[in-house]
Amino acid sequence: MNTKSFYRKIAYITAVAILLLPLAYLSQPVTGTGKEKQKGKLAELRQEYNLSQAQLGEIDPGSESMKLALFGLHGVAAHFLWEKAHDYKKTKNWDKLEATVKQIVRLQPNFKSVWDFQAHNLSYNVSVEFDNYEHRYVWVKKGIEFLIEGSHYNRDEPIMFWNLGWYTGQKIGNADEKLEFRQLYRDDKPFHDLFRQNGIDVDKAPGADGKPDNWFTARLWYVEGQTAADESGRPIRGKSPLIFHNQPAMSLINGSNAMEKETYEGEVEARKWELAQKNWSSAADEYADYGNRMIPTSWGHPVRLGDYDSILARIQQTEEQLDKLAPGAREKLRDQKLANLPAAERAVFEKKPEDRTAQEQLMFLQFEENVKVNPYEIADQAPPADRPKARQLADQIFEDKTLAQRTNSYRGIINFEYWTQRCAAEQTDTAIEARKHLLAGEEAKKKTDLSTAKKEYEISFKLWKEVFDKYPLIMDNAETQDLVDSISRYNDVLGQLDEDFPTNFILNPLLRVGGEEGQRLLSIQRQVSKEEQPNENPKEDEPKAEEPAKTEEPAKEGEPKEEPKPEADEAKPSEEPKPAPGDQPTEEPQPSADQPAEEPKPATETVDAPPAK
Amino acid sequence: MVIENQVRPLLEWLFPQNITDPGFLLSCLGLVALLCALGFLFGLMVAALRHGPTEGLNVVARQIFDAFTQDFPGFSLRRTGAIARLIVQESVRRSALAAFVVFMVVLLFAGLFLDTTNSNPARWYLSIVYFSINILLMLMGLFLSTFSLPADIKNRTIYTIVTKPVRSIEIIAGRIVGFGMVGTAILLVMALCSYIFVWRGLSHTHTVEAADFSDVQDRAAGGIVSGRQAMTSVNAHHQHKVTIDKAGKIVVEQQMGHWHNVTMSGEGNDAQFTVSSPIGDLEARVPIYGKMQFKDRNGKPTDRGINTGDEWEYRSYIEGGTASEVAWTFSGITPERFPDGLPIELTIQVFRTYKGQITRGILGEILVRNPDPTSNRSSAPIPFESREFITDSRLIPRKLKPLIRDQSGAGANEIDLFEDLVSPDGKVEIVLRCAEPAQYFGAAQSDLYIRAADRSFAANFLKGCLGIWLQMMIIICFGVMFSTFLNGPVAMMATFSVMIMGFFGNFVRQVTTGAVEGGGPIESLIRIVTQANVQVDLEANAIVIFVVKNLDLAIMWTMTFVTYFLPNYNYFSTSGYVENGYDIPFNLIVQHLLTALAYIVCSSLVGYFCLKTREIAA
Repeated sequence: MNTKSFYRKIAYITAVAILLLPLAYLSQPVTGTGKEKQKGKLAELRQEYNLSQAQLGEIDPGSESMKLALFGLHGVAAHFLWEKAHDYKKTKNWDKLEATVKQIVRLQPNFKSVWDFQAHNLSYNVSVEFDNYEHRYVWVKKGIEFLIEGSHYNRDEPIMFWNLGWYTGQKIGNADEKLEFRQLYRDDKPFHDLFRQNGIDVDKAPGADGKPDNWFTARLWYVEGQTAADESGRPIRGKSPLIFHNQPAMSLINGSNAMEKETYEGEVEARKWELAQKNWSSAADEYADYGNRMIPTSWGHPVRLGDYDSILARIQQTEEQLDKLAPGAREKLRDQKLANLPAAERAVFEKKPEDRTAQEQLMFLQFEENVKVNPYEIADQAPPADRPKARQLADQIFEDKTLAQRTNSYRGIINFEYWTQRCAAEQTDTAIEARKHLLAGEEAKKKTDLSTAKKEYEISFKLWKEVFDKYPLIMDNAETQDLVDSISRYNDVLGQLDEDFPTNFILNPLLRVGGEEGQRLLSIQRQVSKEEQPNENPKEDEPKAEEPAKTEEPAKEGEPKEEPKPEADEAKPSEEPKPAPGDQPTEEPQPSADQPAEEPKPATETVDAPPAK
Repeated sequence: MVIENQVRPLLEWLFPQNITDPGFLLSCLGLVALLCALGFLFGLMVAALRHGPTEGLNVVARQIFDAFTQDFPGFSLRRTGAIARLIVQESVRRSALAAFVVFMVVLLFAGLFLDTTNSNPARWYLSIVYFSINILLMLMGLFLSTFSLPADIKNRTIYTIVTKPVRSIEIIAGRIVGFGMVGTAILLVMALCSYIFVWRGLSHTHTVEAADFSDVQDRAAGGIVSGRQAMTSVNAHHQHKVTIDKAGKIVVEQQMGHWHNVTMSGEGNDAQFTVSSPIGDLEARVPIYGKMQFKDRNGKPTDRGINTGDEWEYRSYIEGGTASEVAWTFSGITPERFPDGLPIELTIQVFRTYKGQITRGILGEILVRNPDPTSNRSSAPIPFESREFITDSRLIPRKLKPLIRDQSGAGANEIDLFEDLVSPDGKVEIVLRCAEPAQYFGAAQSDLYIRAADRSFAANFLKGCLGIWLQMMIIICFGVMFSTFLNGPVAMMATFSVMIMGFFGNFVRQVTTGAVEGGGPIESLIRIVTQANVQVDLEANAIVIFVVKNLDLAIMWTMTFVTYFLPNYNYFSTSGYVENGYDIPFNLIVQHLLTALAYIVCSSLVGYFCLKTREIAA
């Protein structure tokens, strides 16, 4: 019996030893240096995928001890703590929630979604539970501090820096209590020191009063993220590169915008305009740089947003070359297609654009596809000797049109054209003066100095008219709603002065696109006009009842028609925070997968398809 | 502090109140009777299998007879003490002090994993030390108590005892006392070390310089200077805002659950400031809770206020700008107890339906009312601004302004708290109202109380350890009980199971009743393996699902039945009181002691009968 037991033990020990051999081989540590370097398979894989703890980030002895003490059950412990954290949140036990969250990350310091989720939880979900805005600010800070700690454990992780920028910018600068938050941030020296200790030189992000500004500090975090993405080669997880790289410029825009709307005392107020103008100019440069950046797309090739105009020029040039190879073919083919259209549709096409009704204009846009001449059709009309060359040009046109359409689609997502024009417009002296007078009008209205308010408003509107005449695109945007609201307050001032709203108001085009408030002001105007001239026809300015507020311009020849609506938050600048990826403070933020976010796609592609060969 | 169930008066807890509330004594007797019956039947069954039904009955009856005629009356404290002494020696030999060593390692390296930036470090530190002591002592009790007797039996060292005139009850009691003594000694040392650790960890001060002060402008009052303000130095990861008002009163903002007293000597730029040690983080307040009554927006009494959509229904809300209110009626209010007035503490929640004034809290009012229906006297509203998640301490002075509608004529401009607002039987009503329309205040029973006194924090800390001691003693008793008829590892597993079931009894009951989704053990296992979350239907054959669900149901109901007999360890935990700065009520301690005693006696008796019937020499 004892002999059997002895043999059995020997067999077990032998089996264990045999199993340990391959394990020992695989787990061989790195020894030697240079060519002499030897390592096991696991060490090799760890190095290849940057998975060793030292490569990932800081090594925390506390975290490592906790993991070791749990004998590999740290996942289970983290799950248990997660449940506890949820329970503490439900029962509003904030200090225990905070401590539990920190324990979770100590158990799983390299699980990036935990950092994202819980930072969001602290900054957004917990902060709003407090009634005192100073307490809310403390919890917003706690989320940011938590993310900073996460960036130590996950070195060079672009999205962590990006989130730090987002929280510093959007959560402080776009909340209901943004005025108070921004002031608290400006005076928060310990917080500035924390940023400095983490490589963010807040002194390079001064606001009007010379103290660090949250929006400009946010830009520094975004730039840090960009540097990490460009230099470390780590992927941008959970965020589209289009949005990721857009933020440094947007921070400058938001910061300048916020500064212009705030009032300061004494010299700071004067310096504010100067700084805002300078920052609008920097934003324009930053946006131009952004336009030159290669942005990866879901189609597998990158695009440069700023290349759009040059692509269109190239298309036009190639089309001209193609037309030379098949002279008159384009017109002939188009005439043929027009002739084949039903009579009603043809009649629409034959009308001059200005004679078309709104419905006809829509029909025109709809049927235009049917008469569009495909470059391959033109190539087929070229003389046989030139046909290969013509087909080559048609291929070129097709490719460029596809690229232009995709580029335009991406530009649409972040409202590239609008922001480019806005930066150009806002840095002009006219725009700055317009804003100055508008703010002076608002302040005078608050002080019930009605005649000054009226005067300041009117100067401002006149200047705005000049700006809109030069940059019409910036008029049709939610951002101008603030100006419409100011016009509404101007109307109140007029009412108090017993004056009517002017029937020939110079910013009527803005009111037409100014939403409900704009329409209300226009109806007041119509009412006044009727009272003044009861027998005359309505003024030319007034929109016809059946016409939409704005008719679209027909698309230019060769220009892709699709104008996808902006999706990102920054594409819709506004006073109030708008829902945007990651901005909406949800009750339960979901941890994002460690994968790049799905690229936004245009709804359809309308580029001429090459004929089947 | 959140107290979901108020501590009941001792007599009310002990004796039956109604048919659904039989009281502790009756419930305990019922359960003991049931246990005796089950024990008798089980013993009879075993004896019948061994000796046949008649002889079996005879054996069981003899054992019970012997117990009550010989063993219990002949119980010797001297022999029990001797065994306890041996057990202490054995425990020390078997590295019982390892628990203490581990605890010291935890304290020494606490800096590595303790969150020192927590918004209430005192609460967090106390929570950590209590948790560590609790876990380590329970594990120590578990290992010591379960392996000792089986090892003695296995090594036959038990012969040296059983061959002497020592009764089984003395062996059981000696072991429990011995292990208890070891545990108590370790607990006391751990408590002392913890107290020093917490006190040292929280001790800090700040500095503030005269040059740091700047004027504070009151925007609401047109920008006039309302005082001076400065921030202290950053120490222990925080700083405080210090405000000196026009009258020279210095107010220090509460941060991380405490504040400091700041005293000023000198004037202007030569002023020197002295900042005291932290105040308010380690205290033991004695609250007097009142009876709560809500009124709806029409002023009609209602059981609860409005639910504003909070998942947690602990608090309910009153609507501002209406007749809605919440009133607490306090008893035993006399001028002798509160000569300066009523020191109340208030913790309310705010729910805004619109932003309103973002830079200040919601305005509310407190009234003091005489609950005597013949009196109809009330103070004028005392206005206040809400402060959420902060204990708002206020003193209701003895002299108050009367409510305008008070037409009694007596003391038209001033009324006395005790003469006019306290009823002859010593009751007073404190009413809370929200003054702003469409804004809400949320309150619960324990959100407003009278701070009757402050007791010693150190004593309260020790009282918190008493809860841990009781848990350890119960574990030891169960361990000894199981070790009388199971071998070491099995006894350890059985005691561990009792521990787990005791901690998670409520969870087991919730799973059984379906309040927690995911099903019983088999269904859970299937869901884990198939990665199906708890909310989707189980994907399997209908017959398989039927079998799994019913098997689970049988298992869960059995477990639920068992949980009613096992101690709920969470019940004995009083650390929450200490962490939140409240004195542990004497009532609660007595209730815990009696409950623990019931378990200790029951498990000891079961252990005694098991050991007595065991053939140790076989």
